[in-house]
Amino acid sequence: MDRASNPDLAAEVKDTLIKVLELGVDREHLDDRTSLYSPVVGLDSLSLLHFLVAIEKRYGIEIDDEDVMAAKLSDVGSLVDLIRRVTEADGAGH
Amino acid sequence: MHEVFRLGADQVPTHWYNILADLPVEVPAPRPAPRPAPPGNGREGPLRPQLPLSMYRPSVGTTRFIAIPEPVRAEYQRWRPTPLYRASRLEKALDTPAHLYFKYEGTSPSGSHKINTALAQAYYYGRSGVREMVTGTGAGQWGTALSMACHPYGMACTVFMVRSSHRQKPYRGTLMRLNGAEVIESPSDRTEVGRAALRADPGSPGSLGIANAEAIEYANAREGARFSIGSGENHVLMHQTVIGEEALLQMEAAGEFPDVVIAAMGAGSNFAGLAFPFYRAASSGSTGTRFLAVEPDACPKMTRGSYLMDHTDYSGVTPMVKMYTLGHTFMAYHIHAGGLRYHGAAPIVSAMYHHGLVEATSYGQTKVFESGAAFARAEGIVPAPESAHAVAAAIDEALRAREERSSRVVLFGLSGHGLLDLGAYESHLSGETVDVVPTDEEIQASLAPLIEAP
Repeated sequence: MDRASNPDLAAEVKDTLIKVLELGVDREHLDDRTSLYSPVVGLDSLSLLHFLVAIEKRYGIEIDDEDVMAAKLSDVGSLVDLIRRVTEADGAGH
Repeated sequence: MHEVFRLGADQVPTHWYNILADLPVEVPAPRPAPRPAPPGNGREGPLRPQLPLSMYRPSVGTTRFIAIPEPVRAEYQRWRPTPLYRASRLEKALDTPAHLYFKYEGTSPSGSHKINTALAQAYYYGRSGVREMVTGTGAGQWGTALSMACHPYGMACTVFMVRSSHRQKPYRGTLMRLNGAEVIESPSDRTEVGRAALRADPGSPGSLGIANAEAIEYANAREGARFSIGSGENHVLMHQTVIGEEALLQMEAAGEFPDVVIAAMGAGSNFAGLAFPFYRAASSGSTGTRFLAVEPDACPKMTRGSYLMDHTDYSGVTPMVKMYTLGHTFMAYHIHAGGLRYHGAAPIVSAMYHHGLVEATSYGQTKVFESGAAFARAEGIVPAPESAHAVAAAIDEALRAREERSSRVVLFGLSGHGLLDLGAYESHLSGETVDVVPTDEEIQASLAPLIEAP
């Protein structure tokens, strides 16, 4: 299955977020509109990078610096969008 | 007897060393800053990654050697490899059987080791589309290095410099401005953090913690700007390993291996840069080599601090890391070695110290300047006040060798020259240098909030 059409990407991203940040919540608690600063997620600039390294390992990709630096990340949905963009650009199979 | 060990430009390391590949102890992961965060730190807008991912990635992995990007290595080759000296005249002056060697980083364009990571960081940030680097600096060596490093990549540079150092070392500011940087005395009225510090104490001498907090707030408010730091982060330590990698080759040329490796300890990059490659080499044999970090009595994070989760900045915005710390609100008394006034030790160095893999000691600045002056008279190089801490410990090792009538090989890092610190040496010569030491109560006061809510 092509990653560009991977319908499970959002779920996978949320699962990775929960695991890497040890959030201790179910995926259902991570609505797309959940703020990255919220008590549920509590992301900061360093844990974001920690999460992205985990994403890179999961999908076997290297995310470009510019894609990360230019991203406007405010909620879980925007994070999913970033990962969708970089994985689609990478173009490898899932 | 050879006294200077030089390498060719082709021997500039091709790789940085990542000690995480060989460390037998755990370095605890950072923890996000607790919420709610104080205002004015960027939490209101979108989350802004502060580090280029390509720079961060190798610093948390376990790949042993990380290729140095060719443009960075080409910049290194403008002055690297730096020389390693046998301090034979100091040995003679001390009448010691010890063999003393020092690796000298003062030949760099900025006059210290700091430019090793500044160039690397500027390369990665520039490649990421960042147009302005913002930072805090204590004694000014990091600010100088960053202002120089931004040049090749066409980036602007803004430096918040600790007020006490800015006034005591005006030429540091001049040097940064010559390199196109805007230099702002900290605490300043440019940021909420600075204004709060000035309200609390209009005469505040400032601290590196406040300067960094100001730089973070300032950078977060500017499009295309990012905060950069050259202290104790994993990637910074890694960039500095070019020092030790060269020194390994140079000690091999000298036909000796150090029994003790000594370096001054601010946040830890200078110490790590020299010590880590020797740790790797020593681990594969049975040399029994000791690694000694030297800090000032005025800021004794390792020898008197606690191993706790703490912020790396004064305002508590940054993620928390496990480190030996005096508390992020600790305000060290003013000393001439401003670069060693940082409240915490690098997480990797802290973990090694916690598990007994490295040692630490501290000195008062009177003895530090006596040692620096003795070194200058013997070797003809004026050490930076920070570097003179390593000199003091090396001299003590040499004197112990004399007392015990046993030889030993001592390698110490001379991280920078002190030619912009002559005012400090003048104070020493005039007998005006005083030792300042925090009380137990002062240390406990800044540690208490961390112990109560670790």
